[in-house]
Parts: sequence; structure tokens; C-alpha cells
Amino acid sequence: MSKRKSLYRHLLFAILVLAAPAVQAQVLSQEDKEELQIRTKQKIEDLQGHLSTIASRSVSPALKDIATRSALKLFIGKGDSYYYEDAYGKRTLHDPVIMQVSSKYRATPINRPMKQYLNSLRNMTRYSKVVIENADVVRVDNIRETAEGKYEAVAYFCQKFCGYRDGKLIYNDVTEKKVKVYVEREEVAMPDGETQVIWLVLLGDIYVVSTQ
Amino acid sequence: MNKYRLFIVVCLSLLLWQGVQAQRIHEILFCNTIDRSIGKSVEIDNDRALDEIGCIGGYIGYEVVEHVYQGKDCTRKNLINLLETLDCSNKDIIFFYYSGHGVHANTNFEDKLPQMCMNTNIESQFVPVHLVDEMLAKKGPKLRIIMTDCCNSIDQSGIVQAKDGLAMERGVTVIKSTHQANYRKLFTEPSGSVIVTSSKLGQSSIGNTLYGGCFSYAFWDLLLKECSSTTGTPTWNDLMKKVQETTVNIASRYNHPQEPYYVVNLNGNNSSSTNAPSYTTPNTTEPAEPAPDGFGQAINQLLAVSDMGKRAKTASDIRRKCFPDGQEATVITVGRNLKTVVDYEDIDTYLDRLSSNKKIARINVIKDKTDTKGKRFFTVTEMRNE
Repeated sequence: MSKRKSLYRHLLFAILVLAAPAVQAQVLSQEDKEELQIRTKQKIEDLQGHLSTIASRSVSPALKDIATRSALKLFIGKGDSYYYEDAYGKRTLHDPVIMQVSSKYRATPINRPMKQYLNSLRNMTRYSKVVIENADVVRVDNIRETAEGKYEAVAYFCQKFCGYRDGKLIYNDVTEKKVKVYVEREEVAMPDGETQVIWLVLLGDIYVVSTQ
Repeated sequence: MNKYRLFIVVCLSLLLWQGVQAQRIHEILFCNTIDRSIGKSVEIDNDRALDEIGCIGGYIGYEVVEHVYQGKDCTRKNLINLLETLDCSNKDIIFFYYSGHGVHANTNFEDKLPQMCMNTNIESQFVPVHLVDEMLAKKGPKLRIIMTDCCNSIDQSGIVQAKDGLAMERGVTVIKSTHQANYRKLFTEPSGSVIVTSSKLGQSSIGNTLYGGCFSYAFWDLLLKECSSTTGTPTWNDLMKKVQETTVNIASRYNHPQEPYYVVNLNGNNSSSTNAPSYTTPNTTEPAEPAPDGFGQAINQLLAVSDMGKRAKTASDIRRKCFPDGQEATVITVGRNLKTVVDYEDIDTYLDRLSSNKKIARINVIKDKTDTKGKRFFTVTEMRNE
């Protein structure tokens, strides 16, 4: 009887050892990380393009709607509250991602929920023309594994803002911003009926680094 | 007097029309994707050729006109009909690509090129490559490229140990100015023809289900490397020599003799590789999946609309026409290696992204499949401006 128990114990141990790799988080290779860095850069370039469209006075409301929808889909939670799972599998509800806004004339940046920020950008009445463009190349730090077994990075970009009234430049600044980047593992359905693990790049909170 | 004026107006209009007519690259693909033994490998060849020829169009700024015949449509009748009716100008490029079984008549060693078995083992339905060349030459394109990867023996043990080049192109294709200049050097400057087939007379060609045909993979990989180079400018002769060497090296690792045969005839200069007699046998076939429809053409027309305001309208037209009654669809964007999934979006999100993004230059639709619930899945690659 004790021999049988011992056999069961060994069998159980073997099953646990064999099953362990399957339940561990899938690991990203260096090549995967490099590709994800490039993808992050492209997502931020896309965001800058959308912000430019949303702020423009010469763009139709329909296109602004599309740009707003596309911009929000770049973020974790798509501009709404979102759940994020920790190392113990505990899901915590987080507030919607924020965009910090700053001014040359104000020392402290203000936090705005992303949807509110995009809406205010769209309805900015202070200027008759607004131009937002990227002022430098996007930099993405190395993608690192967190204690929760997830992947994150921080990216930096520069935004040039010009506000005109009656054809005259009223206000302009160049703001360096940093954005938290989440690399999310997702299982998706493929055409052949199988599921496949893919990695998605999602942007998080955006903070002001400096404004000039 | 009025008739004279009318004549001048008509002549001027014709001249203007010729001037503004977009230069085109005719992508002619015939792939036997339904063959029991080599179908999977040929499918990879088909997908890669679709993507890479689409990328060439994106790099050189030509409109890509797709003529894709795979599986049950890969027939002599379809090929001859297409070659007879193809509308081509003297500014255009024709890129013909075939992947499937090949055979050579043992009574004709003068002709170094094989006969394509298409999707059958009925001898009368085979098409000699030289016939394709002759028929395409009559169309008078500026450049015609005829590339065939004909195989009849399959090695499933992993031929290409690819750790660089195409295999590492995990992301979307970014159009860099140096790459663009090199692609133009190869595709828009020379006039004439390039004919290349995967093995010389007496040899069979090998491939696998991971990378497709060994020769095709070497060709696309080296084309990318040559056009990505910042030192020197690529030429067809150099490219062909390198493709030949690489194919020989890869095949030799599996004790398989395979040496591609080519003829480069550009700007009046003719060069070719040597050849020896051979004989190969074809295999059997079964029915196939449908080829991609007009979705690819529609989204590239959307991207060609420079007025962003008008794109929203075009996108909603595509939604209505290509996906009637709110049909569900998912778009899977893969990297240039055709493996890494870069984006996974529902059709509305995807069309929104294309409508509002100025960075995307071209989309190549690689696959169009419908699952058992009637949901469509498009696998696409993307070219972005730098």
C-alpha cells in the first residue's frame, strides 16, 4: 500500500513538473522585444497623427470621430476604466488612462482622462487654427519583464503645439512627454479554428517631462 | 474646320490619357496550392509572392494589378486566356510567378526551361515556360520577369535554417528611401526580360511546409537583402548569381543537387547560366479554396485617396459593399515574415485605422478565409512610410 502511495506521489510530482511550463507566462525573445519596440514607436506616431487630425480646424466632424475612435483604441482600456491582473491573479480596476497637459505659463501639469482630453482638443475655441505635430523621433526604452510576469516599457516623444488666431501665432510650445507602454499577451481565434498567442502593444498614462 | 478641331482635341486627350495613366505592375500568380504532396509548401510560396510583389509595387510607386490563380484555378485554360487578354502598356512591368510541379519533355533539350504541370497530371494541359515568355513578350511591357519554382520531391525536414533576412522581418514593412531607390533600380530602369526557374534540366526542386520552395525563399530573401543594402546598387545579374549560389548551398545540405537556371536579357545585353538535360514526373491534384476578392483592391484605392475627409466615405462604401448585412470580419496584420501577428482587429476598427492614418502606404491581402460560422478572416501585410 505504501509502495502504491509512493508511486502516486511520484506520478503527481512528474505531472506537476511536466505541466509547469504550460502554465508559465510565454517568454518574449530579444527579437520579439525589438519588433515590439518598433511597433510601439509606430503606435505613438499614429497617436500623434490622430491628435493632429482631432485638433485641426479644417477637418470634417466625421473624420474627427474616426480619429478619436482610432486614438482611444491605442490605449489600455480604450479610454475607459480597465482591469489589470497582478502576479497573484488579482484583478484590480484602474482609472481611465490620463494625458497630462502643460503650458509654458503654468508650473504644474494637469491630469486629464484621455476621453476628456481628446474632447477638449476637438472643441478648443481659444484658437482659430491649431497645429500639433511631432517635434522629434520617438524613443522607446527596452521592454522589460515586470514582477507580475508581464512586459512593459516607457517611451518618449516630443509634441509641438501652435495656436493661431486670425492668422497670427498666439501660443506655441514644445513638450516632451513619456508614456507607459503595456505589452499584453492575448489568445485570439485564427481562421483555421485554432487559437494563437499574440502580443499587443497598448499605451498607458502619458506624463509631461518638460515644456519649453 | 470643326472636324479638324475635334480631331486635334481627341489626339490631345489620348496623349494626355497616356501621360496620366498609372504605371502598373501586373502580378500574375499561378500556384498549385491543392496538390497533396506539395500544396502546403506552394501555399507559402503563393503568400510570399503576393506580399513581396505587392511590396515591390509599394516601393516603386506602381499600381499593382493582381491576377491570382491558385488551386483549382491554376489551369492552362485560365493562363492562356489571361495571356491573350492581358491589357498592358509599354511602361508596365509583368511579374509572372508559378509554383507547382514541373516536367521536361525528353525529346526537347534545346529548350532549357520546364513545362508547368499547372494543377493536373494530364500532359496536354501542361504549359511550357517559353510559351509564357513568348506570349508576354508580345504584350510589349517594359520589363517582364518570369519566375517558376517547379518541384516534384519534398523534404519535410526543414531546409532553410533562416535566421536573418525575411525570417527576421517581424514587423510591418517601412518604406525607406534607400530601399526605394534600389527597388526602382531593379524594376523601373531596365527594359527586357528576366526568366528564372528553380532548377536546371535533370534536377528536381525541393521545398518544405515552413518556408515554401527553397529557391523561391532564397530569391525573395536575397531580393530584400540586395535592396536593403546601403552600399552599391543591385543588378539582376548579381542577384541571379547570388540566388543560384544560395539555392545550391541550401539544397546541398540535404544532399540534393539543385541549381537554378536563368536568362537575363536587359537593355540589349544577354546573359544566362549553364544547363544540362533532365526529366521529371508530375503528381495528382484535388479541389481548392477561393482566391481573395476585391477587398485588397478596395482598401488600396482607399489609401490612394489623399483627401483624408473623403476616406471616411470610401471606408463606409467598402464596409457596405464587401461586407453586406453587417457581415463580421477580422483583419490579422502580419509582419513581412508572414508569421508574426502585429495587429488583430475587427473590420470596423481596421477601416477606421486606414481612414485616419496617413502613414500607411499599401496593404497586401495575403489570405481571405471564412470560418464555419461565416465569419471572414483576412490576413494582410502593411507598408508604412518612414
